[in-house]
This record gives sequence, C-alpha cells and structure tokens, in this order.
Amino acid sequence: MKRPYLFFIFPSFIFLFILIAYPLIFSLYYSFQFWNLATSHEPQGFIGLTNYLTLLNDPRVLNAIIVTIMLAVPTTMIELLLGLGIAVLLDRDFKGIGIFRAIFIIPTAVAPVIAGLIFRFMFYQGLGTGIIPYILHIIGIGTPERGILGDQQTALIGIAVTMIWRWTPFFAITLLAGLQSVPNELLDAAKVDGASRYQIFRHVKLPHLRKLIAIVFIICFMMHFNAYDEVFAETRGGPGEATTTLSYLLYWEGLVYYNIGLSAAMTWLIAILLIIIVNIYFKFAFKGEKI
Amino acid sequence: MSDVKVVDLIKKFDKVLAVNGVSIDIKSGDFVVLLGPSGCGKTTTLRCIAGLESPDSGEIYIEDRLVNDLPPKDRDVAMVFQNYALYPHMTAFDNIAFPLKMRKVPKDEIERRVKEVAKLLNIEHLLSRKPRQLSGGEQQRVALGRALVRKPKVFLMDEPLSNLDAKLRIFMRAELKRLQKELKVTTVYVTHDQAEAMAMADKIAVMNNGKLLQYDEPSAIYHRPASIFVAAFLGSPPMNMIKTSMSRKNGDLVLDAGAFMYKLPKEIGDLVSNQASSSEVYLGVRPEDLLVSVEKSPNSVFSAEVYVVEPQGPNLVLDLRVGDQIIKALTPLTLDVKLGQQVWVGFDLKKAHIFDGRTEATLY
Ligand SMILES: Nc1ncnc2c1ncn2[C@@H]1O[C@H](COP(=O)(O)OP(=O)(O)O)[C@@H](O)[C@H]1O
Ligand SMILES: [Mg+2]
Repeated sequence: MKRPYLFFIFPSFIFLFILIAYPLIFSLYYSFQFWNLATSHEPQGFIGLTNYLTLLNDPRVLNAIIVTIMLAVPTTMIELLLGLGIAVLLDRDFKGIGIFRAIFIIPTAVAPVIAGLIFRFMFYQGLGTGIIPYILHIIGIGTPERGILGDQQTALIGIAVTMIWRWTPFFAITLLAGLQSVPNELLDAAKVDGASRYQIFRHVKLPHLRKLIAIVFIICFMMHFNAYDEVFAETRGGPGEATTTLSYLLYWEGLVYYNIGLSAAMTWLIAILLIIIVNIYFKFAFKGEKI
Repeated sequence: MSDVKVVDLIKKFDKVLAVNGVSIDIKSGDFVVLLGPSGCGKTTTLRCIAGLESPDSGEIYIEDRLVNDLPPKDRDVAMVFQNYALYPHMTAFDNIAFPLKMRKVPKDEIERRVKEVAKLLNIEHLLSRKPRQLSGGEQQRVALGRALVRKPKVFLMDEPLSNLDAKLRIFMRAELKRLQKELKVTTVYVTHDQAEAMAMADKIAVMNNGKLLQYDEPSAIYHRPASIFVAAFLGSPPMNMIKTSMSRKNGDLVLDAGAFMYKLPKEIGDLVSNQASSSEVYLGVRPEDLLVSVEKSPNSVFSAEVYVVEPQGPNLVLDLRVGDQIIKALTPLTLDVKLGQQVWVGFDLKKAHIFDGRTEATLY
C-alpha cells in the first residue's frame, strides 16, 4: 500500500461520515422534496428549488434573519466586552480563585430553557412584579405597559439580557485563562522595557488573546445565531414576530406545521448563511494567517 | 556613568533562601559576571536589581540612588532574557522600538535609533520579520537590540548566549564584549559557564547556595581562589584536589597523601598550620601546572600510573592514578605515554594551593 495510514484512519472516517455527513445529505435530499408530515409519512415528490424560492419570498424569513442578526451580533459583542472587563479585573493573584471560578460558571451551566423561565419571572410585570421592572422603576427608568417581554420594542432586549447573563461568565473565565497564560517572561520584559500596567495589557496581553477572542467570539456568535430556547421560554417569538429568530421559525415550520421539506430547506439556508458569515469573519479576523 | 551597588541582599521563596546576603559593588562601565552552578541564585540577584523581584532585605543602589521601592520601568535598566522574551506578534523592528514607544519617543527618532542599533547588530535586513521567522542567533540579536536601543544605565543579561550553538556562542561572546566596551554601559551578566565568565568579565562574582564566595578580577579568581569551591569551579579540566593529612617531621610540616609525602618550606608550613582548623588539608594543583615526565627529574614529587589518555587539541589530558586518587594533568601532545605506564609528576609550589579540609577556605 502506498499510503498505509489511510487504512488506519478508515474506520474513524466511516464513523465520522455516518455521524456528520449522513444527516446533512438526507436533509439536503428532503429540501428538494415536497413533504408535509401531517399528510404523508414519506416525501411526496421532487419539486426542485421550490422550497428555497418559497422561503426567499417569504417576508417572515427576511424578518427572522434580521431578528437573528440583531440578537446575535450585539449580544455576543456585549458578552465579549463585559467578559474581558471581568477577566482583567480578576487577572491578579488572589486566593480562592478556584472557588470563584466554580461559582462563576453556574449561569453558563444552567439549561437555557430554565434561564429563560427564570428571566420571564424576573421581567414579569403585573400582579407580583418581577425584580427587573421593580428595580428599573426605583431608579426612575420606565418600562413598557405590557412589560419588557410584551413590547415589540423591548422584547428582543429582554432575550438578549438573558443570553448575556448566561454567557458573559463563560467569556470571562475563558479570557481569564488566556490572560493568565501569557508567558511571565514577556510580562517581565515589558515591565523592564518601561510599559505601564495599561500598556502591558494593550501591547502584550491583548495581542496574546487575539486568536482566543476571535475563536470564542465566533463560537458564541454561532450559538446565539441558533438561539431558540430562550425565545421559546420567554416570548414564543412574539409579540408579533418581534423575537422570531430563524431557529424559532424553523421549529414552527417543522414541528408545528410539519413542513419537513420546507424546514429542511430552511436548515440549509441557515447553514449557508452562517458559512458565509463565518468565512467573511475569519478572513477579517485572521487576515490570512494560519490558525 | 553609573554604579550598581547591592548591599546584604536576601531573597527567600517560601523556605528556599535563593539569595543569602550578597553584597556587590559594581564600578561604572564594568562588565561584571555572576558565575555559579544552576540554582545558586544568580537569576534572582539579577531580577532583584531589575526590580522584578523585591528583596526580603538589603539595599540596591543604581547611581547612588536607593531603588528598592522603584518599579522596573523607573530604574532605567535593560534586560536580556535567557529565552529572549521577544514579543511574538511584533516584527523585529517593533520589538526593538518597544521600549522607546513606551516612553513616547517621537516616531522619527524611534525610526532613526532602531535603524542605528540594527546596523550595529547587523540585523537591518531582518527588521520586518516576526520572531518565529528568525533563527536563535538572530532572535538573540533582536533581544540585544531591544536592550541597546534605549541607552540604559545598566544592562542586565541572564545567560543570553546559552541557547546558541557552541560556535555562535563563542562568536557572540566576543561581539558582546566589544559592544559593551564600545558603549561603556555597566553590565551585569549571568552565566554558569566559567569559560564564558573568564573570557568576558572585568570582574567575576562567584556564587554558590545563594552566597557570594569571591568577587574579583578573572585572573585573581583563577590564580588566587578563596575556597575549594571557587578553585574547582573555574578551569577545565578543574583543579586537582589531593587529599592529605598534615604532620610534623623533624620540625617540618609534611603533607601525607598516602601515595607520597610532600614537605612544605618553613614559612609556608607555619602559615598553613597556624590557620588550619584540622589536620586534613587539600593540595590543589591545576592540570596545566602539573609537570609530567617519563624519567624522574629533580622536581618530580611523586610517581603515578597513566589511567586514561585523552587528546584534546594541542594537548593531552592524562588521568593519572596516585594511590587511590585520580588526578588530571594537561601535557603537550608530544609526550609519549601508554596506558598503565609509570610516570613522574612534579609541580611548582608557587602555583599550587592548600585548602582547609573542614572549612574549605584557602590556607595558601
Ligand atoms: N519564583 C520562584 N519561586 C520559588 N523558588 C524560586 C523561584 N525562583 C527561583 N527559585 C529558587 O531559588 C533558587 C535560586 O534560583 P535562581 O536564582 O533561578 O538560580 P540560578 O539563576 O543561579 O540558576 C533555586 O533554588 C530556585 O529553585
Ligand atoms: Mg538562572
């Protein structure tokens, strides 16, 4: 054999193929079929790109794309900034950092549906007002009549806050680990070279974190792009379609209307959209460097 | 130009006494080498001078100013680290420019000074490269450039050559010494390599176990070592230490090595016996000071058996068996000896040393 190693990786290749490629290929196949599970338990015929064209002409899809981006981009950015800030504050030697870390990761460990429910109660306005409107009123910030989650203008913010609560600690802990992995010798060199604390952060630590930030950011962005649980628990996509993300729309098409062909096409549309965004992002974030 | 003064420096890490009462006075413009085995506290001493460690007690002065409470950035020292510690995301230019940028030096002056230093170090063509695109020797030059560009009061260098291959190391040590003499910047240089120390230093500070054992010019350290440790640490192969016991015979002081007796002249005998803390003393002779001959000659002291013959460039290194001890001798290649052969060995007492067997201090 010319390349004996191929023989050894073959089993894992098969395994990976079944695990990853099989569902993808079948969903691609269904996306070209007409298939409503409510009326038939198998695909009802090849219809070419009809599913895709239907989606592209559906104003709900465009709305969902806008909602998804409006939710995912600012949320991830705020998480990054807050997380970085917290990481910098914690980046010093103190006892009990281990315990602190363990407590700190709890929000991220909470199931997103649970987080959504908790925040729904905290946002609740009416009989037994939740803590958030209560505090906002005390400090003199008014909330919409129908509550934060009940208003077209603020519902998405409510969901974003939930996600920020969950994921900021994750950013903080990851970036803290990154900050603490800066080689001591570099810090010493910078100190001797005359750098102030801020200059050390700006010129030595931050560049060291650059790749880590870029990776964590895009992973969390993709996660937020697929946000579903919080929407389900807090607003069910409403009011109107103010919080209907792509994933929530997909759930609605597939598991409520049983439009399997259409939701398969939508899965692919979301995937293509994400692939495009992620590729542009990587070009931009890494400027052609090897990762 | 500036002086560095270290007074009674003590630094502990938990229970480890890394530096134990070191005092060094460094003349301005001098090249001082801290020499000692690994773990003896050289780096810690250097880091205390840089301000990267704070001493448990003792004082550090730079240009007669007490700097104990000054952070590194305000001490105006430059340091070259063992692994160079170049900023990996910056080009060589930006690495060298870094200390100037931190001090808000105008852009055109930064440009001019970086170019000047690059020219001095012969790295002008490498300025746009990142550290990982440079070889060890090139990285080392960039690290040196970063230290030189600032014209600091003191250079601190922690084994800057130890990661280079032998040939480059010997080349760079000459370069470094030339540079230092040209720039006349007071330099504290750490190494565990005695040959490097001998080659470069104006003064050597020999350390062991956190203590400063001797601080003097290289030739003084070599020819008048203060203790067994210093005597044995310098020179390659190291000084022979022949274990003997003192006794009096007919009023003369005699050193009994078992295989031979050696009678000391009166004044030296008195000197040794007055200071010695026990009857056990070591006779120390450097390999190059042993005179080996096939025939017995007037200055032969004892006979020995040739145990190993090891040609080394223009010399032969002979391992000789004397009683139950092995000693090394350096002889010209022309000496024709075979394994197992009996030879005669002599030495000039003026070039020999006598050490106390208990305190390890030099008696003669
Ligand atoms: N940061 C540290 N923490 C604990 N022990 C240290 C630290 N730095 C050095 N030491 C200890 O101090 C002693 C002297 O170390 P060092 O100054 O690095 O020696 P050298 O540079 O001569 O090899 C060693 O025993 C070393 O283990
Ligand atoms: Mg060291």
